[in-house]
Amino acid sequence: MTSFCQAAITRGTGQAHERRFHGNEIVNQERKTMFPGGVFQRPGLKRGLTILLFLAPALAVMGVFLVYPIFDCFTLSISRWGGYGVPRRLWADGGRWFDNFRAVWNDPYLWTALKNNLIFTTVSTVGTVGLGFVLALALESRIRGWKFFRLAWYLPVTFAFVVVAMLWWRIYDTSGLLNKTIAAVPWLESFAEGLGWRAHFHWLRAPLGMYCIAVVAIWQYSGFPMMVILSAMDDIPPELYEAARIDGAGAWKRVWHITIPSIKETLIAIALIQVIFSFRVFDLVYAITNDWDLQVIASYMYMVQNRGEEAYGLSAAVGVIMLAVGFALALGYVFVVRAQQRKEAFA
Amino acid sequence: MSGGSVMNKAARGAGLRSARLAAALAVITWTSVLFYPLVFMLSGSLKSGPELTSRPWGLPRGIVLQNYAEGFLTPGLDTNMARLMLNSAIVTAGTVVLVGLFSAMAAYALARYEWTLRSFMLSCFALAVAIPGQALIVPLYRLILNLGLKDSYWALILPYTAASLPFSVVMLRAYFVGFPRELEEAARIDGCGEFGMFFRIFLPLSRGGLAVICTVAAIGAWNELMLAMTFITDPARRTLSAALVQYSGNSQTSPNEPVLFAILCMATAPIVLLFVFFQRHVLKGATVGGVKG
Repeated sequence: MTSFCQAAITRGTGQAHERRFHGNEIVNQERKTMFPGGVFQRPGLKRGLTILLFLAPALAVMGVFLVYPIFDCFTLSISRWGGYGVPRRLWADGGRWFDNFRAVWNDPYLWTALKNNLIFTTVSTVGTVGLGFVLALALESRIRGWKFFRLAWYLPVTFAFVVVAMLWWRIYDTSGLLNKTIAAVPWLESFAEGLGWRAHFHWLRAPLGMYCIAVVAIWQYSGFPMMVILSAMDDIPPELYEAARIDGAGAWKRVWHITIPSIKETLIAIALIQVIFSFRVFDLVYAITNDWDLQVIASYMYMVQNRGEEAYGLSAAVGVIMLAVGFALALGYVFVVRAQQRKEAFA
Repeated sequence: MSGGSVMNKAARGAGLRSARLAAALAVITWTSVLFYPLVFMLSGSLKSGPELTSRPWGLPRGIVLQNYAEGFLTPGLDTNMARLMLNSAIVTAGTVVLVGLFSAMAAYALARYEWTLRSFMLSCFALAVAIPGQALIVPLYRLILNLGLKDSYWALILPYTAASLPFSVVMLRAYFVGFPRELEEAARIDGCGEFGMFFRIFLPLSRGGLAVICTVAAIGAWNELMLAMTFITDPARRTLSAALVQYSGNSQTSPNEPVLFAILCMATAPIVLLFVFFQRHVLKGATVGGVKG
């Protein structure tokens, strides 16, 4: 789920990115090809019907399975429903309108989940983008076999979160690979014990657990920012580096003064995308632990359905909260991209 | 992309030795960190239970293919791996076909015709990309129940399609916009109608773009967990991801680790094969903004 949405947004940013860098060229090309109709297109009713016919299937599926559920999510969030029969409105059933919202609002696990979202989002975003940048930098020097590494590093992105979670559970488990490795290496063991490690250490337990889960996400997903950043680096005009080298700037200075400023927009865009989509994480967390202290908002929403006989309304209320935060993040993304474009336009 | 790399190479062929060394070091380190867990998984699937407990690190001493045979029958799930993969494949294929066809049609209307609400409609599609689909699980569940779709493949195919469409439409539209107008004019002069134009000219020519969105939709549909666990409870129709979570829940109480590793390897193998087969398109999907023709 995550990976395809990520690609979706990248597509958008990639476009914006390209348009900014090669402004006039692209715009002219679009103007030439966007409205090819002209003399050959017959106006009128028949043309309108054709357009409608082309749009109808997509609009129908999205209307029924995406837009209608949004509205229904609001009505269900103020209802009592057990997953069968007809949902009953709370006020008609001896309750008050926002009882579901009140219940989840007063539930400490909601706030634990949101806090965990924050930890997961921060760590995994900084980790994937930071590591992605370093990896892209390493491949950018066109090291021998870079095409192979680019492909190999991207491979885990295509794995199912479930598989990754089950594999890493075997690593983090109290008698898992990590604990066994530490116990097997004497100097590592004494070093770890200095940090508070004990035999059969519980890695997947709050507060450390969330960071451990974020590490899994970094392990799986760094290949994605690497790919995007690498293609942005390839767009930097070589003359810039040439000029810097003539001025006597070393490799590290060139990275700091040319590479980073040149791809700043891409870095910000990819970081925002990671924020938006790590907010939605579910599979990884749910499949690796069912500890209430280590859930995120999506898995909290899923697990809260089992709170009592008719708890689907609670889950819908969490869904509404999730929709709101998701839209806020997306609007923030659009806002930042627009601001950047405006800055470019005035520059 | 390749043009840029050649120039970069020329510009920095004489790059500092220390920088090259650091790059090589980073590449080696990350490749080992990334692949060690996978080696652990693969070698674990070939070990015997006691060996995996006592020596989890290295390669297996004797290969135990029995794990795969046992894992194939997915103990405790009333089904087998082939069935689970078939279920996932049906759901994935259905999603891919619908997403490909519907998004291509919508993108065509948005790219090749000029009409009043066109830009508004385009903004709607772009905005819909921001909807976190899983937040809608409760209303979707009610909808699936009311439509009588529970435990059918459609219960997953239709929501997955709806969730993939916004992004696919936005992306394919950008693809269509780039087609030269001469192509369309030539086809019209040859007497091509509106639908002939779409099916005979645009669909065949947009294979690259279609491959990207279909791969991306396929990865999403193959992996999805939350809806798959909720909308399908019939063991014979469960998808692979949902069954794996159930299996892992069972096996954490009575674990047979090597068998579980074998199951994980079997679940990953088709994806790896597809990835290697379609690598060009997947990579393109990830970096499409940076690729210039």
